[in-house]
Amino acid sequence: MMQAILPEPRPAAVLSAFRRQGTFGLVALVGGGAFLLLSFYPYAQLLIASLRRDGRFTLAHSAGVLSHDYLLRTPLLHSLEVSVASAALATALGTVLAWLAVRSDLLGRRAIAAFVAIPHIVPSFQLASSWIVLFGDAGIVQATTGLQPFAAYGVAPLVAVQTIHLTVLAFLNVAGALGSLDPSLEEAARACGLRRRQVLRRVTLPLMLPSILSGLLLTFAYSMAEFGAPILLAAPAGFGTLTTQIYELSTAPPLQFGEAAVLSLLLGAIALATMLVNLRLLARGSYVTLTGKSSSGEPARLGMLRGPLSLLAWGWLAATAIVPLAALVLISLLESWGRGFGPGNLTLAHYATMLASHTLTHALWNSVVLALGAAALATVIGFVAAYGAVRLGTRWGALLDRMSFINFATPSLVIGIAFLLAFSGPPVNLFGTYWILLFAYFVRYAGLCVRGIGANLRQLSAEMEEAGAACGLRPSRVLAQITLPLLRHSLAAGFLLVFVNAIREISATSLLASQGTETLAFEAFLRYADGDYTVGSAYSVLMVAIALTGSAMIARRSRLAGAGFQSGRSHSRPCPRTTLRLPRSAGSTSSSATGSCSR
Amino acid sequence: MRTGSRLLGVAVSIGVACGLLAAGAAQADESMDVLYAKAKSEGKAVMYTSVPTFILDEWRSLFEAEYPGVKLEYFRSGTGKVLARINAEKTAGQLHGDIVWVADATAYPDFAKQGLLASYKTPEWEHIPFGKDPGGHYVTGRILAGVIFANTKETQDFPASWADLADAKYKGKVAMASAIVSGSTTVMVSGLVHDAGLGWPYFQKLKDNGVLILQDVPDVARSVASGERPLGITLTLYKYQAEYKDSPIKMVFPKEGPILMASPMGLFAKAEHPNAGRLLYRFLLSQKAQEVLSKHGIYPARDDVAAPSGLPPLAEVKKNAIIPDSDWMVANWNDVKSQWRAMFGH
Repeated sequence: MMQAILPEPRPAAVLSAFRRQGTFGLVALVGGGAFLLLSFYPYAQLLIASLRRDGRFTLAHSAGVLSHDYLLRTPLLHSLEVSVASAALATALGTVLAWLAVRSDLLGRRAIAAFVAIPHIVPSFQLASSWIVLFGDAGIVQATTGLQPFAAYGVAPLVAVQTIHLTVLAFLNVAGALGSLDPSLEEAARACGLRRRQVLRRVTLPLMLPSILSGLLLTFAYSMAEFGAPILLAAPAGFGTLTTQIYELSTAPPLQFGEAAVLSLLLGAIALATMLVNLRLLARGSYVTLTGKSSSGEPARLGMLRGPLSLLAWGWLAATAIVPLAALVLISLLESWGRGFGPGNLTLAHYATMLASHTLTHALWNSVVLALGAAALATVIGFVAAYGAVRLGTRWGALLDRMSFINFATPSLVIGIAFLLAFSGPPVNLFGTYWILLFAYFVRYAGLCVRGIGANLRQLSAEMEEAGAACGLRPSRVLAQITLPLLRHSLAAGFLLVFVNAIREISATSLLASQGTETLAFEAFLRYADGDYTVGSAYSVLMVAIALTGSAMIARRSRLAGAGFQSGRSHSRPCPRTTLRLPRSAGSTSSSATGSCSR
Repeated sequence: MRTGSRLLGVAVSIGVACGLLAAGAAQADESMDVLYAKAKSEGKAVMYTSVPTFILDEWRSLFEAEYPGVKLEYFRSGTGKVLARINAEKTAGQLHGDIVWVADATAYPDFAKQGLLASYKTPEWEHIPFGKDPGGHYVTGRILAGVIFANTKETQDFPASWADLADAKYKGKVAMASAIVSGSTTVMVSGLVHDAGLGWPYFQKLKDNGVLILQDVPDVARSVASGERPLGITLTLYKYQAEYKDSPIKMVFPKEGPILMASPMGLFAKAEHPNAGRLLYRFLLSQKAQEVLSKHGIYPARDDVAAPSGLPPLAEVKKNAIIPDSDWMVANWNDVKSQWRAMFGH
């Protein structure tokens, strides 16, 4: 879902390209301009902070970072180590599950997408605390079975939790691409006498390789920016990452804010590099056929393995989706710590406390409205950027696309600090308002939409739109009557992803929210900070329930989940062709891959 | 750019000077009625604090009942995040709070030096026996007490002293918070290293015995109560929290005594709501507000408010306690942190 959209740098003058687009051009210029400003300006403030001390220019912060291993080398290596491992595992797992969901006759394959998404909807710090409560000393597993199968803290638990959290990103990438892979190629290979396994190895896998690698880079970038799981699981084992280091430098007195800014910019640079590698990878050419042919042929029969594989896959899915949620609910019901997890120690009192809180309604309302608002803004920018980059081939669109990826790969905490620097005093004071939160969510997560919509656009042949134009429709009519309806799945999917991410955002919120603008996530955070874990968990349960309900509603509307893989596609492809296209430049893969977001 | 920042510097100095003058004027013993009348026109007072939410909410009810028309608002977060926010707002040129109250006492001399705090000695100061800035910029508002929590279900063998805790027989049994992240833990570490004379070898021993370093002090309370680690270094107040009711926690007072930490508060020189800020400041030091602290297991700063139930009176505890030397802490803060980081990594 997150591969970068390819630049097709046609040296078109920005203005004239957009002017020809009428209303769209206006939205693109104004909306895109606002997005860039909201992104650039805080980063610029961050850059200034990294180069200043006591009002003077200095390189001391950078030098400080470079000269201390504990500031740079150690956390950087740790971050890379964990991110490479989690990305590799999540991609492997996501690929296998995607194949099972799209191409096999696994039992219940259509529900896989929904289950694989749940651990992503649950915040990663929540997954991490569930892990501790489950597998820690005197944890649920030990208390009930006397066994302690996994370590509670350290690198391995961190990689495990991140893998579970991120699998869905790789899954969506690969599933989207698999769904649009022309089965005739595989059928031809079969007809030539290749066995099924050979087809998989010689035809399917090579065709899927770009989107698999793309998924790998996406999960890598996401993992580098992760904070909640590392601070809970790895820090107690003395294993700090770049994000935990930034957190400590910027929030633990004496504040070393300049150093934190330097490390933040380093993370931004890594994100940029990841994206450039991704672009290069995609540009190397892809062999995926994007014909819009809807059905993916006969599902592969698993034969004798069907039963065991179904059991295995569903065992994993159920464990990763349901167990962390169950642990979370259990904590929210716990009357008192240290009296076991039996029914005698369960109570609904924490929910009563939550319901009695005078800020609950307000926080609930704030959360929903802010997440919806951010999702709406992100969807508009996602479309503008994607359409500009893919259809119009403008540098403006490509610029928006790049910016959105960097924002996405920047830790929320850094966005929060940059926003505080930029918008809490003159000339622009948004402090204490909803705007500062809305813009922070928008800036941080817009990338989720840009990618999904861009990929979908690449899948769509321009012929429909050209036909519309040929019939005399004005460009704005073509957009409204042809393009947008065709894109509705990826628009909805992007909206959904931003909504889910925004509603559970804590790091930036904990710095930017004030009284009156508190959100559910913020209320949960406060309870945790007070050591009030049980009430905090009640807030988390409510938050996750809203995110899940929202996801289910939007997913049903746009057939995102499960069944959507094949059926959704056929509707958006009015004139299926079966020609094999070998695109000169990468486009196709990214599109197929990102069907991800749209599915 | 440079001219701009110099101009800004001048503007800031003038602003600070004005703030100081205003504050100077306010030191006169103005009556609460006059203050209230002025505060009403400002509408609210805003606190930046690490005091737990359940205490803040009780204060708000009391304050708003006593001074209708003036709201109490707060930005509550960990000490570090509060400082980060103040830092960012200061850089951006406008503070949005009136009162700052965090656990890290060493932050205040620095604030005062930067001209961030107003000098404001109120009549309530008479009741506060210690931890008062001679310059009037900050005053102790509560006293946190660091003790050893023990899980009575897991162990009956309690350490007799702080030194004992590092004994090999407690290998794998002790948890504490990170001195990097948790402000109160930094103070406790300073107290144990310097004032109790245990030095860094003590922490090396703890490390060799596999001490579990969690994020913050509440995490330690949770860890001990749930039995994850049978012993832990944390603050008395968590024992009083609802979710530890009937938990198998025992507060162990080691023979060197608990570690007492004064947590000061101050009024911003450039407070957005100067009068409401002053009103709140005096309210927080009032008997009524201080009693709330006591109810939640925190020693009040005032000498005329009783200690939390189950804890000995402060005057008695003070005779045998580790009281970290704040001058030493200010001078060695960075060193403590880098020693810690070298040892534990976070």
